[in-house]
Amino acid sequence: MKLIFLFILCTLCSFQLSAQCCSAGNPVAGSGFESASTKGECQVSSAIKYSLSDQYYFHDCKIDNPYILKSSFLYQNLWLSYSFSNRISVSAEAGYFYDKSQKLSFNDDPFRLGTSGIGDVALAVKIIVLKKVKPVTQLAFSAGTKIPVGAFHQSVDGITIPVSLQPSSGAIKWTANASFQRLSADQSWGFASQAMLALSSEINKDYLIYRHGTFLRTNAGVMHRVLPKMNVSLFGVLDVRGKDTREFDQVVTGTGSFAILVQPWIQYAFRSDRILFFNIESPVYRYFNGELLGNKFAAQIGFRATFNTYNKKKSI
Amino acid sequence: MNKCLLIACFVSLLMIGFSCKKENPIVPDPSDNLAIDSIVPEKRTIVVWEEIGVKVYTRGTGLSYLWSTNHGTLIGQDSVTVRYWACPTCTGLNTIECKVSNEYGTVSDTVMIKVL
Repeated sequence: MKLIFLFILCTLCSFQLSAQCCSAGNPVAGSGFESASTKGECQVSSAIKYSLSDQYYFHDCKIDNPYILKSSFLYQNLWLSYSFSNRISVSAEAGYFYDKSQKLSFNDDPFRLGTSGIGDVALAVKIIVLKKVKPVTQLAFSAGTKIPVGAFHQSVDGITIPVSLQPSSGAIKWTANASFQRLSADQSWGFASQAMLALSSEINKDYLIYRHGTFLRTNAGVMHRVLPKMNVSLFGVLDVRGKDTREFDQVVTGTGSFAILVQPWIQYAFRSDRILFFNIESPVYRYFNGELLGNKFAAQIGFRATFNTYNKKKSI
Repeated sequence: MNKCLLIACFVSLLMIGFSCKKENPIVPDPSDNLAIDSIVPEKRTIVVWEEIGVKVYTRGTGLSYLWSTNHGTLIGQDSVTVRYWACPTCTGLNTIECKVSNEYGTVSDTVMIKVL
């Protein structure tokens, strides 16, 4: 049972970029819906994610742009979680961008503009309000923050990299999350759903005054155990992003979007507490309020390990 | 008469002598060591995706430059010139800043570009 439980939770533990490209800050964050559900349980997870965007859209139509050939990043996160009780846990996440860049066509020559550096730190507290064993059912809420400790003024050859390519978002963000999951009686099938809301504070650094729009992600999906140690999941995701504002609360026209994505997962458990996971995220429909670079796909591979410190202490 | 003329000449010589000051050595203006005279864009109003050059005029030696903008993209052309363009979400009045540094310190200046 624990294995299945971990499979679903692992699936839900990853929040990723919406179909709107070039968002500053961490692309993967602890969702607050971690599987640390028994007292003294400690989890460690790390994942590498690659994302590629190479097409500009106006509303939902593809359009050309004169400069940007593609935009991509390669990011690795480290996520830790600890359960103080059977219902309350805390988590922290940090990461590093090995590359966050754009390939530009400048004077007909390809030109790379980008950098690398530490991303923001995310912290969250999760409370499980409903926990049933037969059938396995769980409802949890979490709240957290993202602290912009990462690199935000990276420069290359005397030119400061654009804000959208900086590893840090430059703004404190507040997140709230609700998640629900239920397994079938034989635990070969599972259903899970989640909603996450992220509010951004205003960036006020040097000449930049900017506030990212509110971001809402909801997803729902099913999991099926195809082998004793392997399962597959398919999630549908709806992302809604509000409009950004700049100085004097001017609305940045053209920002804001919604997108529908599919997210297939494969997960393999070496042991009940050691899980390898892989997923792809691909937009199937998107609508931008203006002209924006859209995400083509993102792929992620990661590993998660669980340790129960409480039982060890007791046995000692 | 000759005596008066002689006295007049003597007084004139004295006046000329006192009026001539000793040439002071040329002391350079402190701003010659490090200064930005101006930042000059090719245009101050552009449309989305339009590319312009922005050049900084400076004084001093051993200068290093750091360019930044709050909205839009900068690409270095040479040490004193950058190319600038703005994407569709960068419309508005944007600021380009240039910081110039050498052994005497750092100075900065800005220029505003309106993106339509």
